[in-house]
Amino acid sequence: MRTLLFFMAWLLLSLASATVQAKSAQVVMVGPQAEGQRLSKWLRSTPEMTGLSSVESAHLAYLSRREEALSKSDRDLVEGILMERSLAAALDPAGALRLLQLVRGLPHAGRVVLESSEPEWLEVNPVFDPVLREGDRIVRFSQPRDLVVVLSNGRFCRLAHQPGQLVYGYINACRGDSGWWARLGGGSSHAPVWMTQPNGDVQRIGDRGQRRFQDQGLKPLNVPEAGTWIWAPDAGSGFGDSFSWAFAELLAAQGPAGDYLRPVQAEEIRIDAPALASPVRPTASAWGAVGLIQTPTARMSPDSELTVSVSRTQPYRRTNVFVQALPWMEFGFRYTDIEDQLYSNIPAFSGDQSYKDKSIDAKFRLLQESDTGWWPDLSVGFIDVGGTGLFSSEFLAATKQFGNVDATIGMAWGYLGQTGGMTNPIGSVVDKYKTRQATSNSGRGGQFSQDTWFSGPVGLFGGLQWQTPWQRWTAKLEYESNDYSREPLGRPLRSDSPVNFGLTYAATRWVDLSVSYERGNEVSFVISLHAPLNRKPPAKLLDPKPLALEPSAMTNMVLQHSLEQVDWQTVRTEAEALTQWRIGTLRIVGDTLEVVVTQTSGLYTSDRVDLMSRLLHTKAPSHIRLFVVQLQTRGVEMNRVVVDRAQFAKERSQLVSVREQRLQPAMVSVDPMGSPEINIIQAPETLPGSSWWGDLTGGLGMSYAHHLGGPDGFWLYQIGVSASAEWRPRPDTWVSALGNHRLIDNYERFKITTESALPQVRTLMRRYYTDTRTTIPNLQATHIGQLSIGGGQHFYSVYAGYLEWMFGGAGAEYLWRPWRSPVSVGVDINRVRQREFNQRLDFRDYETTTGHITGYWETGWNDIMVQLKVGQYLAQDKGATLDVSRIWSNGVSFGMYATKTNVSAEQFGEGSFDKGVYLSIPFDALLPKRSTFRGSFVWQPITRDGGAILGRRYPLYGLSGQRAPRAMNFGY
Amino acid sequence: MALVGCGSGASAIGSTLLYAATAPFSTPLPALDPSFQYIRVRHEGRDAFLARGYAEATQHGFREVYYSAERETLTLLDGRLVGFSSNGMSTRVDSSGAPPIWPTLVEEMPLAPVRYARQSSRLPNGPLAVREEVEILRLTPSSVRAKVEAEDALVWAREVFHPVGGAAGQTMDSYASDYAYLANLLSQATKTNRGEVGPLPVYSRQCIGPTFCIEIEPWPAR
Repeated sequence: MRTLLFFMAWLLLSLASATVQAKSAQVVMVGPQAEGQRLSKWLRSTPEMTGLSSVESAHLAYLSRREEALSKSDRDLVEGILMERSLAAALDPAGALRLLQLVRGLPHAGRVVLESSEPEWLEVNPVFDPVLREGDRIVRFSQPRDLVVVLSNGRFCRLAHQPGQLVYGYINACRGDSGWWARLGGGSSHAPVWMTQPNGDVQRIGDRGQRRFQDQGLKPLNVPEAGTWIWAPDAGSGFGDSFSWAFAELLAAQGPAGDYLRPVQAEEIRIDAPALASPVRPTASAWGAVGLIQTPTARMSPDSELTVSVSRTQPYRRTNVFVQALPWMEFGFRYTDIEDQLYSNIPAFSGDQSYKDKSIDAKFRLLQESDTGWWPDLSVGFIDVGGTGLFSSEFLAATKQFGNVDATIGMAWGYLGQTGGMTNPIGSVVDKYKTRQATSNSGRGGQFSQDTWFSGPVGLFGGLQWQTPWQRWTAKLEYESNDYSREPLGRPLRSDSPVNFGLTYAATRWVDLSVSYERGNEVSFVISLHAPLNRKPPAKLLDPKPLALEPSAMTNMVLQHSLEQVDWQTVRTEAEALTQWRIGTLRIVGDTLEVVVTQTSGLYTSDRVDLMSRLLHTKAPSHIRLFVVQLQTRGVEMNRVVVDRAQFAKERSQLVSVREQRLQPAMVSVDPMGSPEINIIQAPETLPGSSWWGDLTGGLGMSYAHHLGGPDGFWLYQIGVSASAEWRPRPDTWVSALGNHRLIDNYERFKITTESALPQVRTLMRRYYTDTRTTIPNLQATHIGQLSIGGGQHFYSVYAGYLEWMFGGAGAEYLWRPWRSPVSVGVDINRVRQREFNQRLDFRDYETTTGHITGYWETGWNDIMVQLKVGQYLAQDKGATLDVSRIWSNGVSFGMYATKTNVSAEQFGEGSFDKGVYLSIPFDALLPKRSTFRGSFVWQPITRDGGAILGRRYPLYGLSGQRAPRAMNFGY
Repeated sequence: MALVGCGSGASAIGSTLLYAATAPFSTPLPALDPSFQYIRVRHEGRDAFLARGYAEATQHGFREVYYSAERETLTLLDGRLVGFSSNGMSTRVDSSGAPPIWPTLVEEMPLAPVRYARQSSRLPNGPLAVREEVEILRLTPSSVRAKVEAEDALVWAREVFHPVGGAAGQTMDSYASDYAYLANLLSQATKTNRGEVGPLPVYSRQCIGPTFCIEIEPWPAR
C-alpha cells in the first residue's frame, strides 16, 4: 500500500513539476576561456555586462556549479521530508505534495551570495571576488516588484510589494485572514516565519510580529523587500526548524522571488492592509526607563541597549543606568539625590551631603504589539523594588502606535498612582490589596517589598509621544496620577497641573536631550546617553592590516620555502606580536606544523588564530598541509585548532560560499584529548622553545578605585600607580605580585567605619583603603593542572599567598569541565586569614575556612549564563549565590547576583542581603586596536559582611574558557 | 575611558591613555600620490580622500570610480553620485537616463526646469528601486550660501528630488543636491566616440535620501 502511494505521489509530482517555470532572465554561461578568472575581471570584459547601469548591475546573481553540488544535501533533506509527509495521512499529504512540486520545479540552485556585484569594488576586495569555473552562470534578473508567500499547505501567492508592509500583512493576505481574530493579531500568524531576502539573507522572524530594529536604524527587520521569499508554516503544521532553515536556504539558492521566478499558478493578490508607519523611537523618561516624561510606557528599548541618563526635576536629581537585558525585560538602577534633604537625621553625620536614595527597577513585556492587528504592547513594571521603597510603585501600561503617534494608557499603584483615581480591582477580590502599607523595609532597605505590590488605590496615567516631521524631534504629552502633596520624607511639592509636556531632541545617534514643563510650574531636563551593548567590535584600523593572501599561492602551493630557509625565531616573534599570545615551540611533523601557544589571552580566539595562520601560510615550507595550533592556558592545553592550509588560503583570498565554509571548514576546533590522530607524541624537528629558567614579566600602570554612595561622600576615589610582576618557572606554575601606591584621593572624607553583627570581613574596608598609601594587594603562588583520568575533563589548582587585598592563606580548586559542555561544576576550599590593614605581610587574628561548590550553566538561550554557588562565606555564614548574566558575542557581559545566607536581615544590616549588578567589557569590543584587557564595573548597593566571597585571582572556570561552547564564536 | 579604572590589567590604563592621547582629533591631511587624481569627500564634518581608479566615457555618461583606503568605492556619472560600496553595503542610483547638468546652466534661464526620473537601491535588505522625480534648477546667487556668494566665478545648479516610493512606510521628504561649476568652462565640451563630455562640478553636496549627504570636491581644489 505504501509503495503504491509512493508511486502515485511520484507520478503526480512528475506531472506537476512542469507547471512551475522561471521567467526569462538573462543568463550568461561562463565559458572555458574564463576558467580561473575573477568575477570582477569577467564583468568588465563581457559585453552583456559592460553596458549595465548602476542599478542594473546590482541585480546579478552568481550560480556556481560547485555550490549546486554542495546544496544537493539541502535539497535532498527537503525533498525527503516532503516525500515522507506526502505519504503520511495525518499531515496534509496533498499540501506536502504541492510543496514538493514547488521544490522540484525550482530551476536554479547553486547561488553564491555576493557582497557586491560591482566589479570595481570586487577588484579591490578579492576576498569577496569569486574565481569562476567553466559552467558557472551569471544571471541578471529584472528589478523585483513582487514577493512570494509559501504556506505549509502547499499554497503560494505572488503579491505586489508594498513599501513598508510588514511580513504578516502579506501572510494574512495570502491566507485570506481578514477577520476580527486576524486583526487582533491572532490566528496562525504567531508561528515563526522565514524570510529569504532577495540578496540571499535568511531571517527567522520569531513567534510574534516582532517590532525589532536594526542595530543602527529604525527599519524593522520584518519588513520584506520586493523579491523576498516568505516561508510561513502554520503553527500546527509540524514542520520543524531544521526543515524550515533548509527550505529557506534552498530558496536563497535560487534568486529573488516574484519577477525572476514566477510560479505560474501562484495567486496574484492585492493587499488592503495599510503599511505600518515607522515605529516611534523609544526614549527615556526622567526615571531613566523608556517612557514619557514622568510616566512609563509599555515600550522597550532595542535589545541590549544600555542607557545612562541624568534628570533634574526639582528637588530630585536622578542618575539612572538601564539595560535592555532581554528583548522583553528592562532592568535598571538609580541614585536619587534629594537636594533639599540631608543625608541622615543627624546633621553632624550628614555634613553637607544631601539625601541619596538607591533603587532598582524592572519592566517586563507581557504582550507584544501586533503588527497587523489591534493588540498593544502590554508591560508590567516595578519602580524602586529593592531600595528603601521611598518611590516604590507598580504599573501596568499599554502602548499602541497610531500613525506617528504612540499612545499609552496605564494603571499605577504606589508613588505614581497616589491620586487614586480608581478602585484597586485586585482589592475588590482580596481585601488586603485595598490599602497600601508603608514599605516594610524602609530604613534597612534592600528587600523586595512584595507584600505591598499592587496594593492600595490605583491612579490612571497616559499620554502621547509624537514623532514630529523633523526626525530628531519627538514631542510628548502626559497625564500623571502622582499626588505631589504626599512626597516621601514629608516634603510636599506644589503641583498646578497633572498634565506635563515636553520635547526630546536626538542630538546625535547616542545622545538625547529632553526638556519638559511639569506640574504646571517646573521646567525639567534629561540628558540620556545610549549605546548597544551587542555592538559589533570596530575594525582594528590601528593594528597592522592582516596579511593578504593570493589564491595562486596556496591553491597551487607555489611557495617554495624549504625548512632551512625559514627563520623560525622571527616567525615566533611576529606571531607573538600579532596575537598578543606567548608562543612556546613550533614543531614540524610530516606535513603538519604545530604551534604551541603557552599562554592565550583575549577573548577573540578565532581572530587571533586567523592572524597567526596568515603569517604561517606565508612563511611555512610548501609541503606543510596543516597548521595545528595548541592553545594552552597556563601550560595546560585547553583547545586545539586545526587549520587546513589550502582551504584557509582559499577562504581568505576569494569568495567561498557560506555553505562551503560550513561543509569544508578551514579551521576546526577540537578537544585536545579527543583527537589522537593529530596528537603528536614525538617531534623530530624541534624549533626554538622557551628558556630553561622560565619567564619573568612585569609592568607599570595606573590604578583607580572608588567607593560610591557611602555616608562620607557620594564618590570617594583614589588614583595611583600599580606594578605587576609574574615569574613562571614552568608554564603551569607561577608567582604573581601586584603592588599599588595611592597618589591622589579624597579619603580625608572617608571617616566612618561601619559596625557589624557579623565578623567584620568587608565592613573594615575603610581601614584597608586609607591605612597606608603603598600596598601589596596580591602576592601568591599558583599551580594548575589537568588530571590524566577522565578524558581531560578534570582540572585542579592549588595556590597560597596573599590571595586578595583583605585575606591571605592557601586553597585548592577542582573543576569538571567537559569539552564544549554547557554545564560545568567546580569546588574550591580555602583556609584564609585576615590581612593587616596596611596590606603588607602581616595578618590579623581572624581566620576561617571558606569554599563553595559552583555549578555553571551556559543555557544557550539568549546568551544567558547562570552560576549557582553553595557553601561557606568569609564571615562563616552558609548559603548560596545566584548569578545570572548575559554574554553577547562581542564578549560584553551584564549580570546580576544575589546571595542569601543563614544570616537574618537584621544581622546583615542595611541592604538585608548581598546583591549587585555588573557590566564587563573587553577592550577589544571598544577599541580599534586589539587588546587583551577587560574593564569591569560592579555596582553593589552596600558592602556588608554577610555573603562575602573570597576574591580568588585565578578561578579555573576563567582559565579554561577555551573549552566553552562559544569559545571560537566571540569576535567580529 | 570610564571602564579603564576597573581594567583587568595594570597596563590597561596606560595602554588606553596612550591610545587616547595619540588618537588624532581630526583627520590629518594625508600625503597624496601626485600620480593619482583625488576627491575630498566630507561627511558629517569628517574628510576622506579617495583616489580615482577609473575614468571612462560610457553610453550613460562620463563615469569615474574612486577608491578609499578602506577599499570602498564611490562612482560618479557626469559628476553625479551613482554608487557607493563598502563591505556589506551598497547604494546604487540609476541616473543613466539623466541629462548632464551643465547644458542647463549654459542656457541661463531655461523656460522650464529640466526634469527626469531616477531610482535608487540600497543593498542588502535596504529599499529597492525607490523612484524619484528630479528637476534641475539653476540657482540664483541669492539662493547660494553666503560663503560662496563672493565666488562669482562659480555657477550653481540644484537637483531637487521628489521620492515617489518610500521604504518602511515612510513618506520620504523631498531633498536636493547642489553642484558648482566654473563659469568659464561651462561652454566647453569634448566630443568622444560615446558622446560629449562636459565640464565636471568643482564642488557638490549630493544626497542619497533626505538624511545622507556628502560633499565632494576635486582635491587639490581647482
